[in-house]
Amino acid sequence: MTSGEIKTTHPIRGILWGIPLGLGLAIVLVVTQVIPLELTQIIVVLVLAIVIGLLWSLYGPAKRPKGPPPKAGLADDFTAPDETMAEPEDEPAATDDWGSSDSDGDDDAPDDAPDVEDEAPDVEDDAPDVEDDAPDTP
Amino acid sequence: MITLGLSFSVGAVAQGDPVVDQAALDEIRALVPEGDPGKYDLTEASAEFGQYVILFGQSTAVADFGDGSQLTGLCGGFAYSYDKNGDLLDAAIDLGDGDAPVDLLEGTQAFTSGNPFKVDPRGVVVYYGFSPESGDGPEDHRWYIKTSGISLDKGGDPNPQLKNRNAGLVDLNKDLPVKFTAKVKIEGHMMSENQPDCVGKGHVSFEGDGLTDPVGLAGLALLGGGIFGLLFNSRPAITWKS
Repeated sequence: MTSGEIKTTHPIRGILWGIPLGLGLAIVLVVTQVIPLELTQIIVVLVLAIVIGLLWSLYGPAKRPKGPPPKAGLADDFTAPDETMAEPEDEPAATDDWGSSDSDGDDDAPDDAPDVEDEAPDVEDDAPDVEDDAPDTP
Repeated sequence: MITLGLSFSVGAVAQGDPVVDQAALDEIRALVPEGDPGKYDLTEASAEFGQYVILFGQSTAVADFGDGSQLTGLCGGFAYSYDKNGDLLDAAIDLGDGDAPVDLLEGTQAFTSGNPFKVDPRGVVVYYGFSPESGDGPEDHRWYIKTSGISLDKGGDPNPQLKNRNAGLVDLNKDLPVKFTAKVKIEGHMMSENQPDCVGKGHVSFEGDGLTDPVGLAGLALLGGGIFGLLFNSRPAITWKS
């Protein structure tokens, strides 16, 4: 193990997997008549298997990491891309006959999005009424 | 390694010398039915037992070598075991004289760890038993059979007629829902109001189909699962320090 590596062990998993190992081993030994069907000998096999599982989980050959080690400082230079995407201004959202901006009917646009049509200056209303403002000539 | 370490208890068990000479043993073997005789008639079984007593010469004393077998008290009898095809598997007798039971086929001590009484979980056992051989039978008797302190079966009977003998057949294929192979140490005890206790200890070998029986397959599955889990789920792992 080189510097920068950490060995993690799983003793609880080793004990837990030792239980089926011990039960299976005890049954196989009983069935093959290596040991008699006796409670004490079955318990001995079970305890042995649990100890083997524990020792394996602590001192067994360790799995190597699959990838290369991460380079130092790589995480600082890395900046995540901005997930928000600006909506193009020159292309108006496509609308269907029902007034929705999506063809599938889902309105993904936020509710507080500005309504382009409403904020557009009403040229006709704001234009000075030349006819009305014109001074009356006698 | 585990196998070697645990086999100490079953290895190196002497079976002793035959208690009768070869000529008598041949005559004894000839008495044992080769095929399944079905349920034994009590009179017939009792007469057969008398023939065995004569051939054994009233004595079946064998040297005790420790983890053997015993049957003490006034009880005795014989048992024949047949496999699923009806062929003779094993036979044993106890003369009710306090000595250990004897193998009718080999002439040596029966029910020992080195020479267990073989039964087929798909076969039958024919038996004849008495307590005592002559006189009143056990009154209000209770009995149990257990292994490793766990009760296997128990029963009893008031026996108001004071019957002292019985013959019958145990159909293991019907009585054992799960077939298996194992060597079991069994203890039996019978108590009554008018007789000393009858106590027996011995080894019985259930000769099933080994690892291909459901119990064996379950054991293999558990063993495989345990090995798989240890190999792929509980090994230490090396990770990079962050």
